[in-house]
Amino acid sequence: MTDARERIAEIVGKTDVVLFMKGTTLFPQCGFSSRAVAILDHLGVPFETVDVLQDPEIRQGIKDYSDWPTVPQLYVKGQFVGGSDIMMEMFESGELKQLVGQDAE
Amino acid sequence: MKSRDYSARVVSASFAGLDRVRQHQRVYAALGGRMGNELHALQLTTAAPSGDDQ
Repeated sequence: MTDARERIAEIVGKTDVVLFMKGTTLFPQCGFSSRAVAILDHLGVPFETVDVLQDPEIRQGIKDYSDWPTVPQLYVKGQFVGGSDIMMEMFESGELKQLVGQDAE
Repeated sequence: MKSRDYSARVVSASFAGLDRVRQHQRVYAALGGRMGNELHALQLTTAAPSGDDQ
């Protein structure tokens, strides 16, 4: 049962900014996922996405991993940052830009 | 059957010193497992009370 956990740890460990979402950046399947992508696009930071709809093990596993009941979920440098609500708050305050390292250009 | 979108702002002194993730997790715990199930579209903001925000 730790398989999903290990897979997730590996995914979030190898890329700085990872968004677990429903659908893809081209075809988001949910409004909150869509919003999360829009925020990251706006920041211009490179990011990876994982479509939880393609993998039931990841879909459940990501909720267990962060103790967070919903998707989308943003990970920066291996740390869970939050869902689209938190991303929006942090985006508006400038914290998110700082966190993903887009502040110093 | 149409799901509804809800939004809530929860302010609590118990949130002081907690990061947003932990604040939200407290609210989700209080919702007793409904978050992600019946309440799949809840937009949540949380804060500890500031001087003006009673």
